[in-house]
Amino acid sequence: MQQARASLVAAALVVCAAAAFGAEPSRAGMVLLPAGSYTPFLRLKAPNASAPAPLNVVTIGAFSLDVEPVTNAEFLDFVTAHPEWRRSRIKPLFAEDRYLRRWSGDLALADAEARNEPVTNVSWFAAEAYCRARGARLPTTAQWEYAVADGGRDRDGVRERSLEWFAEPNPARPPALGSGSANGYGVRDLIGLVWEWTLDFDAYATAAESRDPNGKDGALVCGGAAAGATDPTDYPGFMRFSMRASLKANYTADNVGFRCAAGAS
Amino acid sequence: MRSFGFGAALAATLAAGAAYGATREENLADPIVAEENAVLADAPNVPPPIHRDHATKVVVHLEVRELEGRLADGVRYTFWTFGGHVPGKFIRIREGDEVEMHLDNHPDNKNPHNIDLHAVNGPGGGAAASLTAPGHSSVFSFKALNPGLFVYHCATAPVAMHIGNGMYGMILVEPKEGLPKVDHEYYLMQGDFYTEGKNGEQGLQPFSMSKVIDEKPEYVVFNGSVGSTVGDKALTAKVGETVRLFVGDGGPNLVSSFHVIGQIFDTVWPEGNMSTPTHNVQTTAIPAGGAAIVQFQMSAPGTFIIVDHSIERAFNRGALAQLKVAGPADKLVYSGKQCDLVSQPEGAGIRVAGQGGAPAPAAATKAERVERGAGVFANNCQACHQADGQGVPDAFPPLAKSDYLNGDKIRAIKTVTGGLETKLTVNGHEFNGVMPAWSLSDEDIADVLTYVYNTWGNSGLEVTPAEVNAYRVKATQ
Repeated sequence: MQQARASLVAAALVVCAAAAFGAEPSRAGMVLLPAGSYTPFLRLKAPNASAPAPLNVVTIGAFSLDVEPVTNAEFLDFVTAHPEWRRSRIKPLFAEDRYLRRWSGDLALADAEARNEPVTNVSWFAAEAYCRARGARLPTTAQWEYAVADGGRDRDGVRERSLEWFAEPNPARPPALGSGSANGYGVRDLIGLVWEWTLDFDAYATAAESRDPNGKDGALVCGGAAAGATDPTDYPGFMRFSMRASLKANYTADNVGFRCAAGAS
Repeated sequence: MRSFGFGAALAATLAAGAAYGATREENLADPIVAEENAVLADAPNVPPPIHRDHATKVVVHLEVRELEGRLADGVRYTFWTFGGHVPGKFIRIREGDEVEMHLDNHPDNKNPHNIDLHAVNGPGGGAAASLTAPGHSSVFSFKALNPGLFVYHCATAPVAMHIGNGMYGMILVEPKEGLPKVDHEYYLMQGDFYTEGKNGEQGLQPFSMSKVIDEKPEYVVFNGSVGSTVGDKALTAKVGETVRLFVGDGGPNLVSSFHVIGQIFDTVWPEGNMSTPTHNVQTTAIPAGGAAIVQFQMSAPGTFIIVDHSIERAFNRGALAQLKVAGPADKLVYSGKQCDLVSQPEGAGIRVAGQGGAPAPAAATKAERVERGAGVFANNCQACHQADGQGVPDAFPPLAKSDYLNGDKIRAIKTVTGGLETKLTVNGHEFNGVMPAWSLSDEDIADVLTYVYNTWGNSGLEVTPAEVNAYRVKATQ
């Protein structure tokens, strides 16, 4: 029943996307994640220094999330329809010079295989523009973390696969989509393909000095020190927050991609 | 009075307990003259001494690489490194220098990194200024206010994972007087590693989050791998020469009981500090994230084993290196063995090694057996019998071209499984030590014996697990 609803939403969005910038290849679509609550990795900042930091159970409204990261083929359609995001035309302010560096030209992928690989070397600006063109946007960090938390299902497995992935040096090209199995929400490949941009990646940033509990705290959270973490044994959680903290919106790393979200947050 | 190889004036200074090096205020005020690129070195080497008589600007580039490499024989691991090796590049500067530090995170890397140098006075030791995404580079500068030997490491969360994967190295801030001249300077750094598989389990081993949290390493090693500094990679010196070791402990968790078997440290600068050297030290403690400088003059030839004297780490986890010293023996310094009468208590101690875990897959061919046996040898036998099978004269019998070994296969099986505590003659030399019984599987013993029989000019025969099972000495307890 729920699955049927999810695919309806997905179908609606695909239509929307096709209207925006041409025919969509066989996108797995989006799934609807139900409203719920979860405990984020980082604690809320205590109201004052002497008060204990409260556990911040966060309520997340229902939202839709791409089943898979956005592929090169999909991003090619986007830049075809939106020339200002092509490699030769993008404003330097919006992406550093490795933007889409694996492509062989403005409108040419490296090869046919690349069509089904996640797009990488995209800045936050480009990723967000893509999602907006589809009538969607990047997921918030809370939504992304809610999706990977998966209602507590297979927590240890997710951590284990994350650690294995961190330990593998970057392959020459990212693995194709669909290598991982869907989690309980029906979302695939959150772990094991690429790091993913989030809408507010820098708001949640851990301090660059990531052992300092009183470091940079642009949002409502402390830095990433163990003192600020709800579960200091969650190494993959630290890794994700450190990675986000190291990024700036114009960065175009070899191993950072994205997926889109839609619906209430 | 015994000379430690210092200049007379310096010796007098040290004897008087005066501080070595300048004050922080002096170093801060020391004007920067000119600029140079740092000369960096990979362990066990150290960059050359600094002879400048002024402070300068030193530009240091450290490139972070995430690379698969060898942790032990047959054991692979993905190391995160400062410069491509564990430990990271050795940096050598002079107090008062201004360091322009470039942290380059290679684009092929998967993870963000930063650097905390313990030689820095400032937030995070530089970490706060250097969190760097893959494909980017961070720059910050600091003035070296305190002389000493300092550890640097990655401090990106989760810190224990970054350090546990090998992200540490050392920076020496020389006092302006320089260090006394010695014949050899070497760089050794201990680290603990946490693999999913047990010690010796073959193949690419992932990092174990649960073991690092429990502080239960599978490997404790010098310079990034088991056997990094043994055999033809051992440190070398000659009798009469003075050796200085810059020793660090990267951790992430264990404190080292640093010791050189058969060699007293003439001088130790504990914790890497330059103001209070101590003398005539047997074992010096090196905290995780700390360092020491140890110095000694070689009085006798031989192979000197460098260990973490928290001894299980040396003999079962890999914390063992070698210093080979050539030259004439002085019987007054060390007589060698003078008497055959050795009393041994009842019952050979049982060495339990490679216990638990999934049994290794059986070797299908003799060649496979030899290959697997090399790993078993490195993890269990090499500490005494040496990587080249030559043993140690008067202590551990040779396995190379060994008449004792080649003469009797069944005896060899019984020796490994049951231990040995009798006098024996090997290739014309008498030995009277104890070999413990090894509780290894039939498969492992067949592999290691086949390896030994097919290496170093031995007879080339194969030992099978069935033979080991048939002739194994069963534990009597």
